[in-house]
Amino acid sequence: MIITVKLFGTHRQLFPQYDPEQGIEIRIPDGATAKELLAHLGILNKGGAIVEMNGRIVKADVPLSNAACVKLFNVISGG
Amino acid sequence: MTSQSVAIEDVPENYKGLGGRGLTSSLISNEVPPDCDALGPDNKLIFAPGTLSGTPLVNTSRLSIGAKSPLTGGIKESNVGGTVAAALGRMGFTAIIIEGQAPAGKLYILKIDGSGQVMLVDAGNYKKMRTYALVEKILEAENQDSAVLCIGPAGEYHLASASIQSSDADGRPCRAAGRGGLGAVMGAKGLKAMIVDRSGKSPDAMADQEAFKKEAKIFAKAVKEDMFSGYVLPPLGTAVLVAPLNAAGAFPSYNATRGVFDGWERISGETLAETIKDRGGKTTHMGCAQCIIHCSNEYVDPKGRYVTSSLEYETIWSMGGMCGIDDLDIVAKLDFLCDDIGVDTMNTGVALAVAMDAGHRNFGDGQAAIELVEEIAEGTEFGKILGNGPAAVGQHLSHHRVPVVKNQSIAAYDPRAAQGMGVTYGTSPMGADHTAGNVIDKNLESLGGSLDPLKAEGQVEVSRDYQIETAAFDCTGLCLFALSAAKNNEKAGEALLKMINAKLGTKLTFEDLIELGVRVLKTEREFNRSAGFTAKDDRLPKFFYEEPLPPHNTVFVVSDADMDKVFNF
Repeated sequence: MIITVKLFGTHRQLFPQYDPEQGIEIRIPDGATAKELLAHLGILNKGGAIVEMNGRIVKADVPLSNAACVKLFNVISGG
Repeated sequence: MTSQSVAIEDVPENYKGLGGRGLTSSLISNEVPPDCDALGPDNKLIFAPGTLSGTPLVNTSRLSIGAKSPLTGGIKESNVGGTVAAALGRMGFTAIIIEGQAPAGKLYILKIDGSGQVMLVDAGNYKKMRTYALVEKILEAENQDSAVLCIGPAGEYHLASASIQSSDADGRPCRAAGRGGLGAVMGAKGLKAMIVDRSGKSPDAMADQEAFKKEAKIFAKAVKEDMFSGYVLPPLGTAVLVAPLNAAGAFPSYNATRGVFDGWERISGETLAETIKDRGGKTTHMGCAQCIIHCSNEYVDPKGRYVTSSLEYETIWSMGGMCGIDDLDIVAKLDFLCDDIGVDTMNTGVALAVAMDAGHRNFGDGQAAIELVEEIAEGTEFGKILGNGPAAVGQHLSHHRVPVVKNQSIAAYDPRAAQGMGVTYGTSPMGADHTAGNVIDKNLESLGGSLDPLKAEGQVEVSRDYQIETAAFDCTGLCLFALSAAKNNEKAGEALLKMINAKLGTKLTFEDLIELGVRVLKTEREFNRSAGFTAKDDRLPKFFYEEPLPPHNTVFVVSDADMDKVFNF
């Protein structure tokens, strides 16, 4: 399936040509989970990410939907 | 201040080994009558660097300022960066205690020179001066390399949101001990500023200097390697939180009536960094002495001229989302005005939001917000109400939705969508406070984590643990942003413990540090109880329990009984 990924914070550094308006299209296996997406992008072992799909924060084992827009944010501490 | 006298004394035995918040809270508990007038002569204003301030360790220039708060009516520690804590620590000062009250109409400056000599000098010619002009004049007249703490007009008016501004590494009064109205206490004492020569070098003897140096290197390496302090904060600053908090629906907007701000992408950390970069400002900047994180920034206008430093997440929220303002230039201007007038950006932004919610002005009207904040400096009737904070504005305009606990505004995390933050807001002896036990990392973990931010389960326990560890950490003078490294990197945690022991000549364990945190909280809670606080003061305002917050449409669900279990020690 193909999903659109929008990156925030330092995740944008992963893709030097990243366009915040467009995001990036990623092809991943049908039913891939949020955790598998982070592994695919190489973020899982680099501090991880907060993952949002359809306006809700999702957990590691939640399957992503085809054509979904998924947003990835830095893991944070209070400031 | 009553007799304008200065005395330098050795640290009494019962305070030895204490620093920062542990010291300010112990001194207030022992020496300030809990029922005293916070703006009267019986209150004491205490400046205490941490136990590790003035050492070679990185990120140790946090100063604890303590007093009975005129805003909350309880004990207060307001924590600020800049350069003064490191300067005091390097001269071996454990605390500066301001007692009594200057004669009416008199204003003074406390000066500490490089040899540790302390004197009070007349400051009558600085009356009502705003902080940027004041610090410029002070640094012209004094050693340019001095650290300055000062108040603006708001402190002189004794307003409950008045801050104490602290000069940053560039000598600008842009770091704030904003919370709790301690600027009003300083104004009531008749103290306009404190100047500390940064060249002094006579720190307390260290028990084991070599061991300290070795561990300090390990700790600094961990701060640099930590994802948040080493990689996320330097390019984006605290404003990086805008995006994930909106994603979580926990960004209180339009006076906490919505959890997502329509214009959040226009005020996000990403947009802030791009704007500053495009205009030739500084996206990363050293604000505090010995800092290696550099989370600060310098915001500039379209022509590249300085506007303010540092534009932080909490201010972007209070002046932006809460007031419905999605223009970073307006938010930056408001941040500068608050620093210059000497008021807390959070309490003031929320006070504006309450005024807008009550119909006094429209949400999103940035010009009106600027004009109202200017009224604080002018000392108009509404300016004084605004400068006394959200509760004063709510009372004046008969408006029910006032997001405060113990009269202090909440921070940029809505308790209905980040329930753990509500537990800390409610129960912290400081009033609603985001630094007293900030559990947002547990409510918003990578891949959802294990705690549901919309539910009560586990929130009391995590708030309790964080409040204890923060109370202990606030004794060291270390920046809270270095805490992430100390917690996530075992070697860094051990290094911190070894450094405390190497400095003090003690054999403390991690359990002893936890015990210290518990002791600090118990001391503070006891003071508040004696000042008249009960369990009812550890609750959130009613609307958080009754008005669902979109988009999750949840209310605060932690029960009163569970709130009362936070301090079950």
